[in-house]
Amino acid sequence: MFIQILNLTWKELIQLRRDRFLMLFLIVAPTLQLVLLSHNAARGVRDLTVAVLDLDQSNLSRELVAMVDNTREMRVLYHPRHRQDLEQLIADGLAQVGLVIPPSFTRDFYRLGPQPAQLQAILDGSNLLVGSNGGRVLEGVVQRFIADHLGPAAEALDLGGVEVVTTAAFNPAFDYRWFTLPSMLVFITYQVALVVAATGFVREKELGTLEQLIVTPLRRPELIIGKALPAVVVAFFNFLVLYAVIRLGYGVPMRGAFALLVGTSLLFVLAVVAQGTLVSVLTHTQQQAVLIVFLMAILEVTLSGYLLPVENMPLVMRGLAQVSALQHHMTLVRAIILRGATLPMIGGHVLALAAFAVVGYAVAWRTFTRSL
Amino acid sequence: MSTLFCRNLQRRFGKTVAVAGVDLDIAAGEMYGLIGPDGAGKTTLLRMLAGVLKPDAGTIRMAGVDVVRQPERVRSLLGYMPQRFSLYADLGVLENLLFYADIFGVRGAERRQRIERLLAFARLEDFRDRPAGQLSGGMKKKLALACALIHRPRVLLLDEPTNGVDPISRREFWDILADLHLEGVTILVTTPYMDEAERCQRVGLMHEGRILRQDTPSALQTWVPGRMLAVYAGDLAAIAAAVASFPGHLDHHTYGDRLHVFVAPDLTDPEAALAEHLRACGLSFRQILSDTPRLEEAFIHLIAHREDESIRAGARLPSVEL
Repeated sequence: MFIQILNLTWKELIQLRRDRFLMLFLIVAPTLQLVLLSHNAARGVRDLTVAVLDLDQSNLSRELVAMVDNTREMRVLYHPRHRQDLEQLIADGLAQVGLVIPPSFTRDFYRLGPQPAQLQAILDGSNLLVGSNGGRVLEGVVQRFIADHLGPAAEALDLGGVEVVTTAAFNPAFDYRWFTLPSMLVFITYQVALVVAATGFVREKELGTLEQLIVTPLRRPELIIGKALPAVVVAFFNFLVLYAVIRLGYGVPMRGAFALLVGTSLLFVLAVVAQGTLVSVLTHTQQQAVLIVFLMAILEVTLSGYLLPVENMPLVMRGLAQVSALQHHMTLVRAIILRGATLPMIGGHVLALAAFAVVGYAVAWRTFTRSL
Repeated sequence: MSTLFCRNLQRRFGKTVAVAGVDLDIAAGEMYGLIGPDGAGKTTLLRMLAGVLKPDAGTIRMAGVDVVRQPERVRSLLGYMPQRFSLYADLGVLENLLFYADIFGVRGAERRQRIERLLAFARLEDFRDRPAGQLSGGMKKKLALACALIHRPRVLLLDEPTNGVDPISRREFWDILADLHLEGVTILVTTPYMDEAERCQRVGLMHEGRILRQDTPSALQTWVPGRMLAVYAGDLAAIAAAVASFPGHLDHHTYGDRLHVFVAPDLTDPEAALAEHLRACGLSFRQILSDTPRLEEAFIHLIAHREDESIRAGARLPSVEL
């Protein structure tokens, strides 16, 4: 029996060695996973874009702004003059953190007024990581600011103080599910579309049925579309059901137009199915296809901004994130659902998805020659 | 003008040459059998003819259409049955037929009629709802043939259609092919079974990517040099050992209860001479008869001869010494 097991093991090893796709997966995927995840875990949030509305315009307020800008986590890029401009910057996603310094800041800081000094922080609540980290970083800055200006005795003497009033824009209760659920909606739709499409052709290849299908009058585009369509339908149906669940079951708001969400989601599903079809055309067994899909999913999730905001990724990954359909759609769906974005605001993402779909099908088409 | 025609067809997979220059001329309505050992290139040849695989070189014409350049144009006149079961195992018998009828554009009353006819033809009427994956080996083959026939093709390419099928189902299957042949369908069939090849009008022997010879089954048997004697005896092993020392011996194989001995054609009264030889060795036997070699013997002889040539003189086995 033992010899038989060894025989079988040896045979499996030989097969594994000959399976190039599998080898690629076994070596490259874990390496990438390790590199990307460890990299991200160590980094935390960095370079959040900050818009400051300084109504005090004093030395003290300017010092505070400089201190915020000198942190690793924040960059003060915008100095709007009016409150509406600040809000617009956040609504457009240009600024992730808004800081409002009230006119009475200096006076209140030195306890010359009736109340403690206040700072208002507006955080992009549609992105969980920006929200939670932004508040933490600001509080740290304020602590140091107090220590620098009033000395260690300040607290004991109750000489000064700053109260940070935090508002999470788009997500007042700062419910993490508002951030998580729309992302999961996108991710699950992605998975379903990719897996179903990726196993479509290759299943036929594996079972030998493609051989029979090829001698039928079905033409290349018909075959590709015919196999892609079921994946689109299944994934889109999935999306609709999940949307109903997060909307009705979890009470996630819908601030944008439903038609826009449906339209962009359909485009996204088409783009992902194109990728899956390409995988299916290139592979020889379902096992290979599933393993590749798995690798793709890990990469895309890492790049999607779900684990780490795209703005905080190292340059190379930020570049890669631009070719991730998942990243574009996650950004876009959060923008529509939580920020009520309109088509002109998310046009770039929509164009990217459309480009992925077109390129994906074109490549799959070319690759799938009728002769196997 | 032949219905199925190819010239200098070649295909290699990496370093392996699967098909090394094949010429075929199959007339309209002809039933052509392709025999050859495993790995001879039969499947690769058929796949190229069906337009499923692109050849490295050579031309193929089916009813005047260039199959290499325009494979789509022969789809409607071609029925192809791959060696592997290639229908949807999770679909029922009827569902498979309906699926292929639909993609071949067979619709309405025509579709119903043809399916009923094919189900009767393949004796699958009582199994129409059974998933194809749960059919017996013979029924699967008949269903595959039925699906390949749904659009009434003029040319039928069948790759070892009766492989792994019991003798009764095999006979049934060939009766169906005989009917199609009578209807004028051009058939190219590969088979490992000699009795099946003998039912074809013409047989091609394929070996190492080439067609060595092609002829009618009866002419093929004459390719074996010498005469064949059948020795009926109890102890065939002893007879076989003694036969090797018989002057004029070319080759021998056991065949059931007898030993087939090939002897040089110029011997006078070889039966009597062999009987004398065996008696001199002190062996008893029931009888010695002169017999025509079966296609199988012709096949084995030609292959052995071919391999022998490639090995060249010196390394020959004594039993195939010519």
